[in-house]
Amino acid sequence: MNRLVIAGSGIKFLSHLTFEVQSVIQKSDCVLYLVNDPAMKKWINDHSKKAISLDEIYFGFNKRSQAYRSLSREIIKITKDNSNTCFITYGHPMLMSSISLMLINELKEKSDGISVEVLPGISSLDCLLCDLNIDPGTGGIQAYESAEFIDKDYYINSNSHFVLWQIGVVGLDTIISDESILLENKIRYQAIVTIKRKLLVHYPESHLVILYVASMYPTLLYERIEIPLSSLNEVDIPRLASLYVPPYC
Amino acid sequence: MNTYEKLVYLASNPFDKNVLLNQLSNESPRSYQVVLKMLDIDFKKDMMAYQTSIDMRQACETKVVGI
Repeated sequence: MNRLVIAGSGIKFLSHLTFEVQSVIQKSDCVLYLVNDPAMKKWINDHSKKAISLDEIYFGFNKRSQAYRSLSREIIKITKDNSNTCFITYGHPMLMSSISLMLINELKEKSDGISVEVLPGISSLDCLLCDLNIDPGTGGIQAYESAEFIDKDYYINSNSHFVLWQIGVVGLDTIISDESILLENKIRYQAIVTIKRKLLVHYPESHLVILYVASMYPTLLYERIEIPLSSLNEVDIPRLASLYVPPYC
Repeated sequence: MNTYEKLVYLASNPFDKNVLLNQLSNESPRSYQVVLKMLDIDFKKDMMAYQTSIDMRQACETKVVGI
């Protein structure tokens, strides 16, 4: 039976690559990767028997959903040709990764001789908890993908910690190859306005919220932009930002 | 050491103050975009020397709702 390991490389280059994932990269017959850091790409290339970048497929599409389906098919195809394959994504493979879930579901459905194992990586949420000194054991935590938060009417407990992922690209379902388009995008702006409006039902305008980006490289500091909720649509939200809303009590 | 080698070194030597990502300045770069530019320059030199290329594009978004 061929084996596919889905693993996360963490957020901060090499510092977050667990010993377990390093070993899998080094021992696999083939390593497929889709990461956001060129240094990580080089490390994988230098430390694997065979490495294949999935960038060409990813950036070959306009819609992200189409790219993920194509990537999933390619990963399964290559897994069938190798005894031990691993797919490396950045961060945590089960946090904000449609491809991982797609792969798992497809392999469960077909069960065509491939076993799958998922190995954790350090996620953006892990970094946020450390850098902002939050222990969700006190007060609890609610966390949503930003577009989903707009689409659904989730109950908000304003006494809990609250996180929105992917707020920097909210409203966009396309592959982003040029970051500069984000600031001018009207759909994105309207989505941010909608998020603000939904949050203002539960929090006052003056409530301080934090736009947070974890550090990608050793010695670099994380980014932290603290603003009143009322200013959420007036600041440049970084592409990689998460929104953290502290408890209001 | 080039930028990539420094990053590898600093990942396992986080308390070493003698190796700086940017030797021209006493401070670490403030944003990852600065590091990406430094890596880009190094990798282009590598490409000319060893014919290996690293794709600088960033696949940051790996989740989309509704699929």
